[in-house]
Amino acid sequence: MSAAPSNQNGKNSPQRDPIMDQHWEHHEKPHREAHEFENDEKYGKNGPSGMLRILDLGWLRAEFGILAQSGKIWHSTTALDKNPVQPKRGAERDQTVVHALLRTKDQIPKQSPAPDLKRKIANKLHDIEPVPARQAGVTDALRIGAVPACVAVLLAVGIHFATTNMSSSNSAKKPAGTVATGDADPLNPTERLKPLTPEELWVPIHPSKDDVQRGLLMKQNAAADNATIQSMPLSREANAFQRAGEAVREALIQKLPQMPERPK
Amino acid sequence: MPMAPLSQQSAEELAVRAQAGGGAALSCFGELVTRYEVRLFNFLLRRTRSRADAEELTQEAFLRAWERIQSYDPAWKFSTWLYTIGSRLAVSKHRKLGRERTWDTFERTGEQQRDTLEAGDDRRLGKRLWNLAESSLSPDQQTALWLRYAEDMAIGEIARVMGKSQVGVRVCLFRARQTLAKTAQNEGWLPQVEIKPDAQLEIGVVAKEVTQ
Repeated sequence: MSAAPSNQNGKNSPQRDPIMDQHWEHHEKPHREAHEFENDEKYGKNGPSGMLRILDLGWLRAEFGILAQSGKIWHSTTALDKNPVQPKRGAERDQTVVHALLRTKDQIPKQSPAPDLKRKIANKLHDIEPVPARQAGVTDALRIGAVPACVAVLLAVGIHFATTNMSSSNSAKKPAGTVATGDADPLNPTERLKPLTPEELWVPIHPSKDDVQRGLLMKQNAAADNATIQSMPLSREANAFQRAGEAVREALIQKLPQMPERPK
Repeated sequence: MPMAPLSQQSAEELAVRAQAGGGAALSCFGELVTRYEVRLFNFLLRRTRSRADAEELTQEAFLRAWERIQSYDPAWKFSTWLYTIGSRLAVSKHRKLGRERTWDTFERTGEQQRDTLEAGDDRRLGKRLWNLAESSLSPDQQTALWLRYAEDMAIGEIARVMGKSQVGVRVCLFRARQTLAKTAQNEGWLPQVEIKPDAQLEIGVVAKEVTQ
């Protein structure tokens, strides 16, 4: 049953690698043999099978006595098929026998459905209208292409945001370092370098007009948001409670008796 | 130009006429139902192993095909398209029923049971092999085997129905036949084939006598 890859002379290689042999057995061999066996030109898709003919022809069994020995079935099969291809491996011979047996049309087990199945289908067909071509095309396209399209759009948006944020953050977070305070000779400084605050570090030295407008807009928005929050009824109540709580706490502290001093 | 009778038209021609709509569409599709009802039922019976489920899926597959007849591509055989619909419906149903029950009990008719018991008859070897396939092969292998041998489908068509590559289908068939051969040989009823050194001579003799 087992077969190993052979060299060009058809003989097994004298130095065989067990790992390669294992790979051949589990991966290469099934693919190669399946490919060879399923070749319709080689066996003939609908052609007669010698195996079938032998199994059906009882006279041949009695006449020649060949098939009494089951080991010779392949020989006769090959002869009846006039197939020039000679079997090389046991696995292929087994495949051929099974192939021939499965091709016997009258031995394929088939059942009949219920007699009223066709009538049921016909009745329901009258109630269903085929989906129009345009709609069918759209739904099929959606069904087939919707998921990949959504994934592609999400990926594109994600990549766009990632790259935009990275580039903007790189340019915005570039440290400004220290700034000299107006020395004429930088080699002989008379004044100390003024350290920059963190806020100053994150602000571009020469903000563009857009940056200034954006900053103003953000401040305005923040102020508007605070005003909105303060004007909300819930916020007012919360503030009132907070103020009341502070007053109560102060009153309680004043009314508390003085703690006696601990004796030494 | 007078049209040929429905029974003489190919399945693909009927499907295209059903696509075109009009009064003949339903009758054309009805002819397709007549042609493929039993075949599709038996294919789905292999998948579901239950007559009731197979009948239900057959009905559903034809209704789905009629509903979606506009999406049929005449470049493919109608049977391939229909079997693809049926196969996908079977997979969906199997997923739904997966947790409730399994499809491992095949409903046999009395005739099939008798066939299984007739062990000594060589002419029943094919049937015994199919029965063996039910118990020893995976659902995918059974489906591939059925489409290949019972439906005479090409490898490309089977690959389309099963949603696999052609190499995958070839390997699936190879392994199915290998499993069947091994199991049958272990049970002792499949012929053990051997090649002797004088094989060429015997082949020549038998071929000569048969051709005469």
